[in-house]
Amino acid sequence: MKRIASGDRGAFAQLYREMESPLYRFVSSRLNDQQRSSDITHDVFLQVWRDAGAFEGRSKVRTWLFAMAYRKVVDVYRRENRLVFGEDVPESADESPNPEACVLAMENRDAVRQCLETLSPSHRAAIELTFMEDMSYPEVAEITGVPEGTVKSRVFHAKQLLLRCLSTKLGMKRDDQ
Amino acid sequence: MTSNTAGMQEPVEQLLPFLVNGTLAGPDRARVEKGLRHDPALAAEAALLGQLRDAMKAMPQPASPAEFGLARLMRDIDREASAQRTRRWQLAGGAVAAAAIALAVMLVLPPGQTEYQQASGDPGRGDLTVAFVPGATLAEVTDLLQNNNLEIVDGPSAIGLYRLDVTAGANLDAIADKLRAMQSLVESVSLPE
Repeated sequence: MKRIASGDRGAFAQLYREMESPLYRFVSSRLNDQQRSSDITHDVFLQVWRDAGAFEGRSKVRTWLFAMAYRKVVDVYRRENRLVFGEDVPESADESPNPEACVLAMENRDAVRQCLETLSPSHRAAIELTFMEDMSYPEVAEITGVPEGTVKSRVFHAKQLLLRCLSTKLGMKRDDQ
Repeated sequence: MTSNTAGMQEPVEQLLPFLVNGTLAGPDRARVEKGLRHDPALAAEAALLGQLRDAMKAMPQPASPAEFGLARLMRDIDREASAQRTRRWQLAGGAVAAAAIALAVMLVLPPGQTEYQQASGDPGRGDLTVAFVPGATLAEVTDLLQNNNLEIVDGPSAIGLYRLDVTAGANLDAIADKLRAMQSLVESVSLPE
């Protein structure tokens, strides 16, 4: 970041090539809009270029970037009166799904995607940052601006909802056959 | 499945995803690993979470802008830098022009007047309000003033405007038109309302 702050375009390009794809994936997953996801990713990197000197190193660069992206996505949600990230969809009972059915359903990538889409934005962000970006719970908490305990709870419930959904998907597939 | 709670600690299942993704450390990790050793159901849950993580990572990824996005960024960074340079030059040019004009005022002061007087103390003066281009030089402004029998009586204002007086009886409209035509030196000319 020091090199970027001093105007080193090579260092900036290197950071972009490392982080652009996961950042875009994260934004795109929230917005489901290719153009706006590109614009937000662009804005995040432009902000990095402008504010690199202000980066204090108290968090990882990756966390800093994702937090910026998350805030920009939340702004879009607020402007469009979509469900705000802090509002959780009410939980149903966390009964355990059938593990074998879940494993079979996981082989179907469309089923995994469809089940992820059933989650609330906050649940989905939590579990995607945890399993797709392999972030720690303090990192997820910093990005999403909630307490660490909330992150653990969200990931746990998201996992339960996902597995239950996958279990149901397999049942529906068998009914179709 | 066992919920290993101890005091105010969260159920160990809530930490399991972070053991699976390899980010759990310290006492949290030790607590989960202990649970895994003693609870086959917890171990099965960990295996299931590992498969879920693999399935999520294996999902098709959206195509990001990649190098096109980088090119767009570099273009915007260049534009921003260029705009900043232009602003700096304008500011510097404005300062030079202001200094040049202040000096011109000293040169064209009427005989007997020993110092420049701000026309703010004499608001009735000033036939024309003029702005010079940022790059105007002392020599150019001096020539313009002398060739047209003009005298600076106020300025520059905060936005770079000068009030000029013309010789008594001169055709104000004609002089204003002549100044307007000098676009390389004069940015704007306005007559009193």
